[in-house]
Amino acid sequence: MYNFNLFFIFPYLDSLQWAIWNTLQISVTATFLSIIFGVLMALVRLSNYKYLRLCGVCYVEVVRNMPMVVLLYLIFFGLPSFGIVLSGYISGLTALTMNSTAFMTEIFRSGFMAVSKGQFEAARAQGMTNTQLYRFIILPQVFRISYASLGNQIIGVIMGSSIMMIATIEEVTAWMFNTGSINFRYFEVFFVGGLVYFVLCQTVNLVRNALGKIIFKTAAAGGPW
Amino acid sequence: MKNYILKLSSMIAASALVIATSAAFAEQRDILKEVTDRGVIHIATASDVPPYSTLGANGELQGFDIDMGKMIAAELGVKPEFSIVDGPGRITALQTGKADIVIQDFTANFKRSQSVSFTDPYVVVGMVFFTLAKRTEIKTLDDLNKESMKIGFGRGGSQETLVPAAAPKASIVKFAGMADTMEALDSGRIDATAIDNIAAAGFYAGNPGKYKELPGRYSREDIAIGVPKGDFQWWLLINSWVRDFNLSGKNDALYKKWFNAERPKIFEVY
Repeated sequence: MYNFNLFFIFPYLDSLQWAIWNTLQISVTATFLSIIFGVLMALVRLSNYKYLRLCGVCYVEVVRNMPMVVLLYLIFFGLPSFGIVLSGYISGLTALTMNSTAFMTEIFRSGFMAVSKGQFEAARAQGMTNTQLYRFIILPQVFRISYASLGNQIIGVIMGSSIMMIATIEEVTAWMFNTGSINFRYFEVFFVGGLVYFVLCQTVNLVRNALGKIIFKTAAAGGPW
Repeated sequence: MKNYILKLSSMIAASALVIATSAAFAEQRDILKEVTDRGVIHIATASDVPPYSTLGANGELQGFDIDMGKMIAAELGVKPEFSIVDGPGRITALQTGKADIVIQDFTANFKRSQSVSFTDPYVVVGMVFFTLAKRTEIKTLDDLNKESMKIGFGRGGSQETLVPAAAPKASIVKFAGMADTMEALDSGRIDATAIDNIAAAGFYAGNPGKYKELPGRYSREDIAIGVPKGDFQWWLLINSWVRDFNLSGKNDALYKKWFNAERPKIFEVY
């Protein structure tokens, strides 16, 4: 007879606060870095130089086809055999960023390809430099086109941060295991943990929808409302 | 907006209903009857704690715990079926009925006894700290009790409360299991680790000269078989098996076989 009773979780809500903060910290940092690298890698994949393009393709295919757990184990436990010992946080951040960059690359690449070629030619005809071209014309359009996928990928990063407990980062999933092993109320603990992730992801969703309406002034970037 | 709130509240209501009804349907189990009807006893154990249980080269589990499980199954006249679980898994396996007994270097204490039941102990161990032999500057626990020192162990064990009590100033690093912890110790990520003395001896035996143990035992832990809470008859049965195992000399023989030493006394003489 199992008595489901959330009362057992109350003494541990304090440590849950810190766990949520750790999750958010690593997720936000990884998202931010992977957006930057994703745009750069997308440009690499679309460049005119064959070997540069090949590097981009290799990176995306290798990292996308590898579970993040394996990547994390390679970075955290594998690199020390070559003398590179990274701290838990840096290993976790690297793995999460690498994985997310691969997906962001594809998101931005399809965004770039969706912008019509005529825009590039027109801008060059006007005498714009490359920087001006990208900054004022191309990137804003790419951003609008890939906005919905970006939101999904951010949620993917939050979910991916749950593996980081292997690299000794004390985030929400680690909190679930730690608390469960102290008080043995695993069902309550996992219920609360799941609820936390649900709330985090829905918040991202709501913010994305609201921001989308404000920035793009259309309902096209909106959500299920 | 209204649509969204409606969807959200119906999702929450549905999940609450599922949880409530599942609790209501849980009833008194007769585990002995289930086991004999099935002809199989489900035993949950570990796979990375030598010599209690390890995965042999042919994929079969072997070890002290495994032999005990086979003996229990033979006495009951059923076949043993082992499943590998981790720290949290062994508890939920008992609570959900996936395992009938758990034999996994399982420490019995009062707090845990509120969720699962334990038999009498079959071996008594103490927690020890050990580190790489080449770390000559670490000689005793006082050398570890500094903020710059990192002590690591796997989640879900008794070390979670015992290590911070023994070395409050050291930093604690938690890993997914003992295998990961040993990997971290070897690569220098942590300075020391802690586990019970018999499991530690298992690691020393596998890697002669690589590790050195710090002096002192930092706990007295009763290792017992875990059974699900709520079926007294089952507990009585398994407990009487453990008593017979301890008193009849079967434990001495098995202990000698796997731990290579004479079995020490289990119960304190008051």
